[in-house]
Amino acid sequence: MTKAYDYLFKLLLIGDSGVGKTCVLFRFSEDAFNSTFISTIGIDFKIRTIELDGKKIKLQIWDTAGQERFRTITTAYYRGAMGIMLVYDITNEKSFENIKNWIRNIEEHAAPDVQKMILGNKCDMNDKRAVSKERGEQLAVEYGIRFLETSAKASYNVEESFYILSRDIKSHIDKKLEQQQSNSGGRQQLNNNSNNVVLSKGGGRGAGGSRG
Amino acid sequence: MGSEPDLTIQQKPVTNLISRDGSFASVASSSTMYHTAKDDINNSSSLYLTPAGSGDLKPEFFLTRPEIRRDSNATTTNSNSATLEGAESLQSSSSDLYDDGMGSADNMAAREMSSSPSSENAMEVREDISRICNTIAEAEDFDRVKMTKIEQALTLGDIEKLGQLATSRAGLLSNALRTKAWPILLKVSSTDISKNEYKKIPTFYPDVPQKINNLVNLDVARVLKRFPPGLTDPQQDHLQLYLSNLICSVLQGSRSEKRRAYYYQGFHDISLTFLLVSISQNVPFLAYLCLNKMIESNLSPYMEKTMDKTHDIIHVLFAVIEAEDRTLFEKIVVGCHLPPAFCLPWVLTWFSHTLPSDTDVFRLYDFILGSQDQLSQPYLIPIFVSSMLVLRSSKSIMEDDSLNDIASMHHRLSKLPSELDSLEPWLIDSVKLMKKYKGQENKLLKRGVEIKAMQNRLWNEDNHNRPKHRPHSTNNGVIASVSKFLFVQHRWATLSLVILGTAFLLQNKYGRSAYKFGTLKSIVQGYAPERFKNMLKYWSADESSDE
Repeated sequence: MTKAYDYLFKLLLIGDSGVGKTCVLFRFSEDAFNSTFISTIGIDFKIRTIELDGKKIKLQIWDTAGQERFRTITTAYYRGAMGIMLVYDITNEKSFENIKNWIRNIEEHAAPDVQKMILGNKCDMNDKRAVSKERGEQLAVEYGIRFLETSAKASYNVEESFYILSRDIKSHIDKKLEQQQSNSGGRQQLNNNSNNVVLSKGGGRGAGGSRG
Repeated sequence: MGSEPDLTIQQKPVTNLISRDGSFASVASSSTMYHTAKDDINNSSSLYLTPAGSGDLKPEFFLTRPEIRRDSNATTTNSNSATLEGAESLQSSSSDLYDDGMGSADNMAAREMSSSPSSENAMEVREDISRICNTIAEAEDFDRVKMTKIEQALTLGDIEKLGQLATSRAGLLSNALRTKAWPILLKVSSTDISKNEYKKIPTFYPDVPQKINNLVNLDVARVLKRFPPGLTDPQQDHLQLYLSNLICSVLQGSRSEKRRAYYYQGFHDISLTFLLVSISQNVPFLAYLCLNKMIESNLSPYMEKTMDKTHDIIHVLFAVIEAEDRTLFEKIVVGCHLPPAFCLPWVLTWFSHTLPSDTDVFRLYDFILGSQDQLSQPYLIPIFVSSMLVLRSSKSIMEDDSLNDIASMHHRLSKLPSELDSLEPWLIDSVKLMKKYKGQENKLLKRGVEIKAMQNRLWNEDNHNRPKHRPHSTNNGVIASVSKFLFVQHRWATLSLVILGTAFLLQNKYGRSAYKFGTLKSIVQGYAPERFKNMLKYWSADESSDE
């Protein structure tokens, strides 16, 4: 039996209601767009396996309800996430301003080394644009995180953004792994806990997690 | 809008026509309790509302074509012959109104559509509207005996009997009966019903914050999937305006009273269900009355300022599962660490967000509304219904070894509603479940909170990477178990052995200059086990021969 993937990454999509989180995810996982989407109530996820540097990476992407009050329940899922997409709607100023609140939320509830990325969605609707691309970039620079404008409808940059975030996570893990191995003098650990997501790399070699 | 009062007068006969057959029409007129409103129609304004901020919009008229489905035998003769005529004349007059309404809706909605609707077009549209009533709603195997029983219970105002009928097979059968039974099951006062049946829903809601208003509109914009198929764009727009107005006016009502209700995403699904049922009978105000009752009783804990209470309540699902099926509980909660968030859409929308067919949704609402008195806290009914859904699949969940983490279990459980062939067996079991735990609600709530705390602990342990069973190592079992033995279970022993061994080797090679071998030897001879001593003897013999 060969394993279907080398890594499992857990990602999370957060942002205000109606910014298009579900649409972005649907575009990425099914390569489709449907204008009759329904609101997300609570939390759900989709899976897609991608390939990076010859490694198969299974992405488990959790999609959350945007309404603030749902955070009580969804923050439990922040802890397991290795990457978080912060999504706003370029036609909605408020959703952009709220990115700061969402980042604060991450700082409170997610792992400190979680990889983040900001997405300005609906960039096909340029005529209704309320947030310039520069402002998005500036915010991202301020927080030292990556930024892309996307359009789930026009299938623009969606694929790219998930690849970029995955690459960041992978290099972060590889680095951590290397560090750990050199620190502990080759001590290896079997990290079994799927919750913290680093699964073994190929060939049965145990890959270290964040233990110790 | 001057012609509207005329239309409303004629509307009632059409309402009767929507029902299955004439026998209902006759009973309906005998149940005076609900039809005293007929007398008031003249002074009631219009039944449809003008949504706020769109004064020039004339909404379409929600009517059904007097299609006589099934057997149109004797049933549509006597009392209905008159109503049929009324309906025909109404049709001609409403088609004018319709053309007009569609034109202005076009202006407002700025959607792409034919700009000047021909009468042919209007006819087509009207047929589409009639499908609202025809496609959604009624039980497939229409049970006339049961229908008579429901009508009797309605006439007598017998809530207990009505509840039984609503929970038993096929529920309340049709939207016509639902429209009458739901307010009674919710204990809306009968004077409220009879006085206001044809009132229009308020369109003024100054106390609803703009932010919430926007959110409501966002959610309402995303309910199209649940609309009856075949509606045109302006019809959809109209229904959406209606819905957002309904929600906001209900929220407004709650603001003026002591107990405030806060909107949550999902409340719009509940509101839509009530709206679809009541609008199919042309009495949308009943949806408003019902929802006002709902936010005070069934939904009140879910509409508090925060979702903390909701979070506690959904853990009752696990408490019920634990009490019913310990091994299943172990697998889901202890084994997979699954939080109960998967049941949020079930509980918060009474499955209307999840079940694909509106007929099923209405049937389930019959059930929940009919079970009001089964539990001391009616807001727990959806929790029990959800628990039963999981419990029923216990066997297949237990047998499936691939369910070993949050994601796989979340996915499996979320899919349960779509796997149902029929709701009935599930609902029958749910009744039994509620009967069994009646009176223990508080105990279960308490246990739910404990489970929540336990889960938090589990999650925190997860964060420290507690070693657990390892599903991905099956392909190299020997290596994995050996390394697990060495590096996990006995990691300190392994580490010390490695260090000790390295030290000896280094000693052997370079150590003579740095250490006196004899010192080490004496230490080891003092503490090391017998086997080491022998090894040392061998080495020191080696040493001496070297020298």
